[in-house]
Amino acid sequence: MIWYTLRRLGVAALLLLVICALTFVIFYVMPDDPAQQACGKACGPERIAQIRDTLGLDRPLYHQFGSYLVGVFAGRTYGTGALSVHCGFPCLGFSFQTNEPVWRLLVTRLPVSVSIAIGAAVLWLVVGVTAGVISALRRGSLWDRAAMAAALGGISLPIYLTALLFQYVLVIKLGWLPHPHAVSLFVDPLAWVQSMIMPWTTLALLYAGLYARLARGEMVESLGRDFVRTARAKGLPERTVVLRHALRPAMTPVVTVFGMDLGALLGGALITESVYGLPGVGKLASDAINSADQPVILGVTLFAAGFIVLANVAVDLVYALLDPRVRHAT
Amino acid sequence: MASRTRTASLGASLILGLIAVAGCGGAHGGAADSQAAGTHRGGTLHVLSTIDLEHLDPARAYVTSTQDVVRLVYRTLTTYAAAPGRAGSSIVPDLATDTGTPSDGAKTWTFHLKEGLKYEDGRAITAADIRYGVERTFAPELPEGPPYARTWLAGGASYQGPYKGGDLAAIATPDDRTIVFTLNRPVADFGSAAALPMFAPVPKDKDTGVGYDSRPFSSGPYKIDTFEPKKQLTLVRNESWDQKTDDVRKALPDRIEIDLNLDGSVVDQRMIAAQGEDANAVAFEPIGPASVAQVQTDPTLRARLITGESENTRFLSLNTRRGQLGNVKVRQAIAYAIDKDALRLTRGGPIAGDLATTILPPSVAGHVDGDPYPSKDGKGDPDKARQLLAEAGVAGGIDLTLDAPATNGGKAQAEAIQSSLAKVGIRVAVNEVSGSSYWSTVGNTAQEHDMVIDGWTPDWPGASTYLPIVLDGRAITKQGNNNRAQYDSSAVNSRFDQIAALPDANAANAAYGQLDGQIMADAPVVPFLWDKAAILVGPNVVGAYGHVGYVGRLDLVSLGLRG
Repeated sequence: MIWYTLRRLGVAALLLLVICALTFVIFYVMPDDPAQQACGKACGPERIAQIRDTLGLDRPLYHQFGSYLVGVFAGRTYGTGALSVHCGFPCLGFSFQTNEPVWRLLVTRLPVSVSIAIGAAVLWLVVGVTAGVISALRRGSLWDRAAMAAALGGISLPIYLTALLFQYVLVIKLGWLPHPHAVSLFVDPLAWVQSMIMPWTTLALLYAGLYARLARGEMVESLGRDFVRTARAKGLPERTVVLRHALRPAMTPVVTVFGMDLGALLGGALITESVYGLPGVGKLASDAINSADQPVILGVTLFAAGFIVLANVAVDLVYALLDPRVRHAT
Repeated sequence: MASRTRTASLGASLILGLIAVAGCGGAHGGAADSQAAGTHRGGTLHVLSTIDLEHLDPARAYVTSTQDVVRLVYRTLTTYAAAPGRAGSSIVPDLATDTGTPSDGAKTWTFHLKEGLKYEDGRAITAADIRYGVERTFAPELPEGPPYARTWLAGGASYQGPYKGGDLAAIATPDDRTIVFTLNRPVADFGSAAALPMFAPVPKDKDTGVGYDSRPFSSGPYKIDTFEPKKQLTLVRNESWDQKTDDVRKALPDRIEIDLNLDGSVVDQRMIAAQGEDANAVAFEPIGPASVAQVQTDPTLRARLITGESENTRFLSLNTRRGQLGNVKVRQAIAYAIDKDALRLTRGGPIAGDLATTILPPSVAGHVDGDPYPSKDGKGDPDKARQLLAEAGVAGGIDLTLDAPATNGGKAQAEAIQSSLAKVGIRVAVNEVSGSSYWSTVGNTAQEHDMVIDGWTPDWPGASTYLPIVLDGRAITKQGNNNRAQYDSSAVNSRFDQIAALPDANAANAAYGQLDGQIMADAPVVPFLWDKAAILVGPNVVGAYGHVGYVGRLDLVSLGLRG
């Protein structure tokens, strides 16, 4: 198991390096020239050349990428003399628009994204999986059809629509909730829940629908398998058949998808955060794209990719726990 | 004595503001142009912004949105009058006792500082600090600011800023309250340029280089409490600031919280509902086109909608170096064909501004009324356009490519231009450019196409930061080009030189106004909109009016809350 874990981590690190290189090349060939952006509306070519030199943009691609990679592990210093700025480990670049290391921007935004992702995940996992399993057990019933129709509705409604609707009805018309704002769970738990309940519901509406359909499908398949028939034939109570024999294999695909979804959400729920004005990683990404703040875009991309890769590793490990065949086969 | 002067000048500006309003009234559906001034001190004012603040550092603050905010935090040699309407475009003393004294044919400018000026830590503001602030704008590490110091100050071409080059000899400070600028050319409106943030004092020992952007040292009524980029800026009172030295800033709220990068439709909703703390809030940006109808049909909302004039003109640039656009008759045909009213409709209709007929907007000194390409209700005159195209020998039509930003607004404007020109046989292909790289793309002469959706906001309401920057043929550069028409007329260029040599600002403005008409006859650009901003304010907010220098955004220094 240790060897298995180490190998998975090694592959993950390699994957991150490839993503980093690819993203770097994409930004290198993009039309937005950060020097031009910095220079303002009245700016000649000499001035642009000076800025390119200061920002290190005139160095060749491999040189820039090398400095970036070294910076990630060892930190780096931009510029020289009185105007230099230091960007410590792990230096994912420096935003010259906001004068902050990208890492610090990410870390200050992370609690908001984590609050949104974890809360929403609990909500959709409980609601979605429960609804899906009940539907599978009562296939064709009124409950099944109603739940699946509701799931389809949840999947079809775009997030920006539900988010705006919630905000309009619950905050502006009824005044039941305050406008969401970033507040820590540890400072003011009530305000935290009040601010987060709408983003959670918005996301859960979408994901619960997906998970209900997935859980139902897997459960139906699992209930039709031979080992369930055998369990029933042994005379086990239905409760044990469903919970111990049918549910466990049905959950493996759900865990896979859940790991990926949660990983992606931790890297920022772009639309949800933007509409509710919550300063998370996703909002940072959309703001950076709008202002063409390339170091931040690159940093968020890597950060989000990191979460997804790590989530994958975690899923693989959980898999190995759920299903011993996985770790023995590899 | 000082307070009487202030009251008198405020009264005068209010009257001027009302005249300006009457002059262009009726165009928009009854939105207020200004509110009664506030007097109650205290409370927390909230500002809801859909945009970010780009650079608070005085050497780098160049966009009007930031300039509106930093006026709360630091003071400059001169500044705009705090007044609604066109009165806001007059320049008044701020740190200086007057708007500057020119000598040597306006090649030397002398300013004296008021007495009793203090920073947030209580120490005196000196002329040397203002010199240091200007010198910082030369450093390539702080590149975003205006180019004026670099181009105007004697010896500026080779100076690399105070970090590498020591002091600049062209700025002298014979004593702590006198500063003298030696220029390499006559600049009649240097006193107006001195209102730019780069003429704010920066104490050398507080300068943290690139990091100064996060917390500029306060010389104004507020100091920065916290600043989280792209999230929030909070300002609290600077107790060292003395109201007696400042005729411009009211400093009514105790605290100002500016929330950044909010969603546009959410800000509109919040301002319309105005519940809780939002009653003490103002929107920073104009309402979106989608909210215009709702606000205009509701009298209580309309009463909370403030319209402000802007000094921004939107125009279509015709690249005179490309194919048939080199022919003046083709350009004139386009100027006749464009349906300006349809273009304005894409921005929300009459509330978005007045249809433009000259390059210089009415709020800029030197503007002369005129319309060389008239049409009924500004909807275009296709017959006249077709006739001109026939005279040019292209009656069969031509194909042109239009550069437009790939934003909702950009696409809508491109479609309006497309359908206007289709009526006269001009087939327009639209080249969409991503919003963030739009200006650098059209500013690159190798990447620019035939026509560009364009516009210009001057750095102060004067023609000298307008016409020569946008239309002087010698200013065309391969990158960062502002002359998107690539218009290069030797007659116009030499006229620019003559006007620039005039030591009197009024004479220069009048000459620019006349030159505007001359250029319009050549039609290198087709002006279509003089912007106005319509902004919602909360019911508890008083003293709100749109300021022309901040393209119609609320003048933050005058806002207060009801007691």
